Parts: sequence; structure tokens; C-alpha cells
Amino acid sequence: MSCRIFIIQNEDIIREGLAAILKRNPLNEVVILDSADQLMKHVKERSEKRVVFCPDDCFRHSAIEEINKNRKIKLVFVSVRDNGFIDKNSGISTISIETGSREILEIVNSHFDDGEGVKKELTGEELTKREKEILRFVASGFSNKQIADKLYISIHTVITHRKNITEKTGIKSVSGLTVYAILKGIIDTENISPAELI
Amino acid sequence: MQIFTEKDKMVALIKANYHLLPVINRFGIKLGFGDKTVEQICIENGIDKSFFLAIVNAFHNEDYFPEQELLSFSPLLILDYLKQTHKYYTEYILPKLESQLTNMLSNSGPGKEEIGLIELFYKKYEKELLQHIRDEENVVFPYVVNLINNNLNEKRDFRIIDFKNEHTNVENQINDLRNLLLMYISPVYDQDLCNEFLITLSRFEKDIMDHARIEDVILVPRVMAIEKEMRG
Repeated sequence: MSCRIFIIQNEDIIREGLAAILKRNPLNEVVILDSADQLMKHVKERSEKRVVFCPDDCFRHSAIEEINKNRKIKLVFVSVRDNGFIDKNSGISTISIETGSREILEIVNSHFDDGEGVKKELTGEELTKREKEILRFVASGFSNKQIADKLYISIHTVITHRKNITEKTGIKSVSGLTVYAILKGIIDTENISPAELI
Repeated sequence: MQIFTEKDKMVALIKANYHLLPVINRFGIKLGFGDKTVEQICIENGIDKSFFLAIVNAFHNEDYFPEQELLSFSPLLILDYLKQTHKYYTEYILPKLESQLTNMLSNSGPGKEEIGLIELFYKKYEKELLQHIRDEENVVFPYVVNLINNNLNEKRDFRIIDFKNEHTNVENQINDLRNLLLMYISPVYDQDLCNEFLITLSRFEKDIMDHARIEDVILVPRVMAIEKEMRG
């Protein structure tokens, strides 16, 4: 299945650069749109999953809400001023010109991977060393942002690790992951009681 | 997608989906309805027929989204229904889950510390769910009632859409509880007791997901329309 990605962007450097990065994944099909109106028209006509890269001032607030309601569409803002971040309320990612290509591809993949209705089979694989490290932080109550800062990695990378942990273990919530980590001896309960952690 | 209509026999609904049993109970409908249709039973029980159909269809079909005309009923009806559902959870399902879990724990052999973790997890979940229910009943529902009574003076910042996103965690934890038991806990417990617990849990999971969907596809759009009218 191909992954449709729309780019709305006036600046040539950003548009062409982004398109080039996205095309590294042969599954990605990149479409350049001239205006936000074209997107809105498209949104009304079609219903497949898409990722849309656009400037953060491209839409009015009401339009963003409208688009965000459609869970098949993931908006990603491209900002020339801000650093990359994820808005907690809307769930919208913002990337900056400093965001690495791997991270950009991850954002796209995570949207198309989350197959609605199609639940991913648990892979049951062992967690990697890095994933255990992340899990230890999660179970100890650290936020994604704090983990990112501690390990000098981006918040997108933390989120990708967490997604992988959930896929491997079948456990989604923080307290569920804490129980898992205790059961597997990934966190030590000698000095702290499970009741305080869970 | 199977959509029930007013001409369907009530018994056919239940045969199609046993999970609808507690749902019809929430409307005050009891069994023993012979071959009466949905319409007949709704009239007998003084139930708004279109509302009843919107609820059972949303419950039965994950992709069901009621047409605009079906959304004409008063949001107060929806609130009543949701409160009945909460009552079913707080007075029936949660105590049942808790006692089944306690029973399981007290009938386990050596190594039951692991089930102790499950109990801690469950207690935390229950606490969060009860808090969620309280928030809905103390904040969200009164907001809707105020809105209907043309009263916008309080909670200006609150919008019904804010409430829509709060469901995920409550659902994730049921998933986790099940997966922890199925996959990771050593089976030092009585198998039958554990099965009972898991069966209750899976029924509850289905019910609460549908409950959240009803809030999202029926209550939220209805209230958003009123908000739009009133706030412009």
C-alpha cells in the first residue's frame, strides 16, 4: 500500500528538500499542492490516510480543528522559527529545518502503521537494550520530554521506542508497562515498593 | 453493517448481539417481549424510538454514525442513558471484577506476588475510572444541562470537544490488564477463577468502548451543534 503525502509549501528549498527525504521510502507517494484550499477540497472528496506537511500558519484555527477531526489525516507543521515539538492538545507534530530525515520518515511511518481496525499482531520479540532503558524511565514516571532530554535523543525517537515497546509487549498504559517492567525484572523493586510505582 | 430499524423484532436484536442485553436494560426494557417490534416496545415503555435506535446501532456497529435527523432528540436523554451506564459500571461491573480478583488472589499458590501486582494495577485503574466518571457527572453533564438552559455564564473555556479525548487511557488499561494475565503472569491461580475474571473483563471492555463511542458520536456532535448555535 502506498503512503500518500501532501506538501503545501511555497519555499522551494523546504518543499523540494522535504519531498526528496520522503521519497527515500519507495512506498511514499508525494504530491505537491499549491494551496490549502486544494487540500480542503481533496479532504472532502477522498477518505484514504494521508500525511500533510504545511507551514504552521497555513490554516485558520477552525480549519485545523476540522482537519484534525478526521483521524485519517495527520497534519505536520513545518516551522522556520520553532524547534520540533508535539502539541499535547491537538497531537500535531511540528518539525523544524533542524529535524533529521530519519525522524521525518518516522513521523510518516507511524501514521500509516497505525492501521485503523487492523490490529497489529504482537511480535513477542525481546526488548532491545535501548527499549529496556526507555521502559525503565517510563515505569519510573518520566515524561517523553524528560526521557528525550536525559538520553539526548529527540522526542519523536522516544515516541517511536515507546510504540515499539507496546507492539512487542502488548501493553499500552504507563501503569501496565510498570507492572511488566517489575515482572521482567527490568526495574528493581528492592528499594521501592511496587505500590509506589504502579 | 447491520442497521436495526423500528420494524425489527426486539428479540432479533438480542439474538444478533447479546451485548445489547444490559443496553436495553438501561432503557428499562425487560425480557419476555414476545415477538414485539422495537417500535411497539418503545411506545409501551415511553422511550424515544429514534434515540433508542441511535444507541443500539452505535453499540452494535463500530462504524455507525447516526444521520442528522436521528440526532434531533434532547441531549438530556443521552445524559440519562450515560448515567444509567455509569451506574451499571459502578454498582455492578466494578464490584464484580473486584470480588473475582480477590477470590482469585486468595485461591492462589506460592508466587502469588505477581497477582498482587495485578491487584495494585486494577485498584489504580478503578480509581481512575471512578474519577473519570465523577468528572463526567460533575463537570461535563452539568455543562451540557446549562448549555441547554441557555446558560453560558460558567466554564467559558470548556468545550465539549475537550472531553472527547479523555477516553483512551481508560480503555488502554483494560487491554493491559487482559494482556498481563494472558501473557505474563505465572499461572499459580485457580484457572476457572481466572477465566471468570477474564470473561467479565472482556464484556466490560466491549461495553465501555461502545459507551465511549456513544459519547463521541452522539453526545459530542449534538452538543457541538448547540454550542455553535449559541456561541456563533
